[in-house]
Amino acid sequence: MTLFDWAVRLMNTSAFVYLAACFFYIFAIASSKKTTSEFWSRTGMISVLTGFAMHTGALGMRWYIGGISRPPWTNLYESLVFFAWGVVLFQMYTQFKWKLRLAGVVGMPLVFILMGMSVMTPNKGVEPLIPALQSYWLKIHVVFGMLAYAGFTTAACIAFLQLMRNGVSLSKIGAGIALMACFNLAISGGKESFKTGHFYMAKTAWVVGGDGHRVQAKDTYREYEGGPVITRMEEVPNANIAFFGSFALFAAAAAVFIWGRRRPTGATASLTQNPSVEEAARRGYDLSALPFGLFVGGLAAMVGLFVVIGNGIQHSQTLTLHSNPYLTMLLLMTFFFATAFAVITRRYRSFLSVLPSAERLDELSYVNILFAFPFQTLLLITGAIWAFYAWGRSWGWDPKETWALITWLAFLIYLHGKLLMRWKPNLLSAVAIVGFVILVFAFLGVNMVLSGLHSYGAA
Amino acid sequence: MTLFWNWLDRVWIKLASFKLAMVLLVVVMLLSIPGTIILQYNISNVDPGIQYDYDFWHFAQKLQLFTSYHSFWYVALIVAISIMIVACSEQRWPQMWKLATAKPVALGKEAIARQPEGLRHHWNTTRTKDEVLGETLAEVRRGWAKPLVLEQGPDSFQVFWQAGRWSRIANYLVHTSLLTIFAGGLVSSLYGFEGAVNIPNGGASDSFLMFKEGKSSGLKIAPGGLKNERLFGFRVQATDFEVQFYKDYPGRPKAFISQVNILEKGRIMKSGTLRVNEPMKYKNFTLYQASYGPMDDFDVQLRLVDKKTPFSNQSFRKVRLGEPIELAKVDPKFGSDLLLVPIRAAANIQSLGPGVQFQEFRGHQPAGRPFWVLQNFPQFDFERREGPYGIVLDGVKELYFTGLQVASDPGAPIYWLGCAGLLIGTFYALFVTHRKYYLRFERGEIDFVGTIHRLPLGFQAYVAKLAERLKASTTTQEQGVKPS
Repeated sequence: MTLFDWAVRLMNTSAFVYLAACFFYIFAIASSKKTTSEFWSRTGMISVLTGFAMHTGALGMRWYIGGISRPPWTNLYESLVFFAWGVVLFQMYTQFKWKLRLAGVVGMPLVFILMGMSVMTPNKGVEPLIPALQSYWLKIHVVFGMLAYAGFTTAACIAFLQLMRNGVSLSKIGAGIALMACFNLAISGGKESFKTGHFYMAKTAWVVGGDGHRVQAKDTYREYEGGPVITRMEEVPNANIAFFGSFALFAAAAAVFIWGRRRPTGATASLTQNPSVEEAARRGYDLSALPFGLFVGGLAAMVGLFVVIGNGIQHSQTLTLHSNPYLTMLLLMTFFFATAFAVITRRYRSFLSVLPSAERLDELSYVNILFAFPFQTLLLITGAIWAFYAWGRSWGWDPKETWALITWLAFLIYLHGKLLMRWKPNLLSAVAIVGFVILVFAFLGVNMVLSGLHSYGAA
Repeated sequence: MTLFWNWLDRVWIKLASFKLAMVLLVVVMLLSIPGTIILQYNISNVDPGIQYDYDFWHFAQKLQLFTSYHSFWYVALIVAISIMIVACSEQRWPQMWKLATAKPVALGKEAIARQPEGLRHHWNTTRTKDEVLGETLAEVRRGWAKPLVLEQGPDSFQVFWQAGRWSRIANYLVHTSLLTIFAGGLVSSLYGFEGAVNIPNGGASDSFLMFKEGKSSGLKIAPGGLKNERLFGFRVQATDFEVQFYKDYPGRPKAFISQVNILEKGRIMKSGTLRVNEPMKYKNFTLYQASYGPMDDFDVQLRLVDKKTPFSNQSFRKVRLGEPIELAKVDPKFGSDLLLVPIRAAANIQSLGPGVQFQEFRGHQPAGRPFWVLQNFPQFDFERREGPYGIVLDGVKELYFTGLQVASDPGAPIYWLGCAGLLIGTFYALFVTHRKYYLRFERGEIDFVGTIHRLPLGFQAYVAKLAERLKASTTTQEQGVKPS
């Protein structure tokens, strides 16, 4: 095995160590005894540290292979991995410096999603740079982007915890998660599934890769020279019941969560801004049995979908998970967040009691945005300088550029809301989370959906 | 007239509403989205409207959706934002200036008690007022701050110091810089331009194709050329162009390099190497290496060799396709009135490597059949073909045209200045906080208070550490000096 193979293997292993950490954090909130909970959250932390050491080692190896002038953040695979690395770095800072262990419940699934997609990216090569990328601006531009995006991501994770700690209605949060589940399922199924009533996944074929070796990759074709790339799809047998069942149950749960909200018992009419754990728990716990049942049903159907997909893969030559990276990761992310939510509602009070005060969480979220925002500004400006030298224009309204600007504007709204308008923490947290969704689109969605110049090399 | 000014004043105050500003920010964010989804006019998409049906095209034309970011509504929005920035900033200025520069006022006992618990500390000391004052001032100066004695009585004093007060008005640098960037963008879009030119290897061009032109670029239209062809006012000559590929990665380009001369009235004014990321400036033009393409032409380096004495009589030549070689001039034995012409070439013939097809001519008539010569297999020509001479190829180089981008961006210095200000301002405004400290001494009792204009919870630990240090220096005696 060459050093390169070791780097890839180490990186993939770190992804699975992070996956273990996700489970440990869920165990930590699930266990009723304080010592057990402590044990699991410490185990989660240790796995994050282990994963991070491997992750850093693998990045270092890639840098060594590529040489000093080719840092390990130049194509899609490396962007995913490098951004995930930044998020883990911020996670560890949050957990050590601010003693916010439970940030991992929200943060680590996000890290695992990025790492999982990197595992499934077919092209992991340490390729030399094409002329447009041979610039020292590449090195600093991406580093600033990583700092900004990791900061915003951490801010959004803490903002979510702030909402919980401030006693925001669990039904509303549940509805939000159920809607996210529906959205992710809808993207995973795609237009075809909804038109035909069957569940499809991308087909796999053996193709000749850039280095002449045959690799397994998505089976694609063009109808005519220069036409759009079309993926061949394959039906997953018997998956439709689980798929549509899960979708319908989550959709129903979202609706009933909103309209069938129970009045929280003993909630005071006047809302205090910085509630105690007791008060927050009383105010937030407004779940009724029906929507929660539907939600858990949706989750169960989703597990069923995993089983059916696994079965389909075993019986088909052309179905693999790694030709469907977005589908796999979206489904897994939904699974994690839905499970975490279901567990939290069972251990609501003890979950709230380990969190710092809502005011403190609001401040921590704010600190991350204060840190990340200037780096987002730097990202935009260094990008403009680089474009000025490479393409002869500093700002060309390319979709990637524009979405980075839209992300910047979203957090600009946060800052003005905080400084100028003195918005309430809950509204600010909501803005931070929306900003994070925009960021995800700017980072990955633009490359998936829109065309532009930032194709991450030849990914 | 006064009525008008009164009215304007009222409008101005209305405009300075923060709520309206927030709404505008959200609107700018939302209206930036359509231009990322609908294809925009640029160099590669000549007419994005082709993709859509007529009704949508018509609608999009009316709303200028194919040029979203230069449309009337987007420009109006930017203008509105600029006015808003000025109005809000002007309105807030006195308040912010006061916060940054206000003379500190001594805190009374009650005012101290009103401070948040984590930010005030209290301790007692047995030392005299003068000793404590001296120690405090020394401690503050050690932390690079300038202490100010606010009040002093026979057995009391209050010391004040602060840090980062200019972060209160750093946002003015940010907002001024934003306006500067807008101004730079305006200058660029009025007086700048973007275009491109393809120059064949070894060729030259006096003009280029304009893609985006401001109101007055001041460039002459090329006579007899295309509608959007403009004259440089000088001549750009590409003396050489080369594409380098990575050895182990077939088809992955390593570098595009053009050697360029700039000629005026036949004199070379400037010459240099153009690479991606390394542009060249001449007058107000900047030339960028942007693309390249095949010219269907080759440079051929060859030797004509006497078959009987293959090592003694060799003639080196470098020719282009179609360029005839008079064989009699090379060696009379090779043929008295024959011309040898390379007519075709290929970088790789059926995996046998580069090759060139030749044809002999007598006068204007072809003599015999055309024949291929392979660079890697010279014996092939020696053995198969009749005649006194053989051809050895030393190099078959495919020729490319180089695609240069031509641009002028007169607003650049303005908006780069704005960017620098934006960066400094953003970092200063968001990374630096305004911290004020009060230390009050009265008859052996010390109160220490820290205030901060944001992030008060995180500040508590810092204030506690500072209080610890101050307490240590104001309560203990200096070593070696014993109280008598």
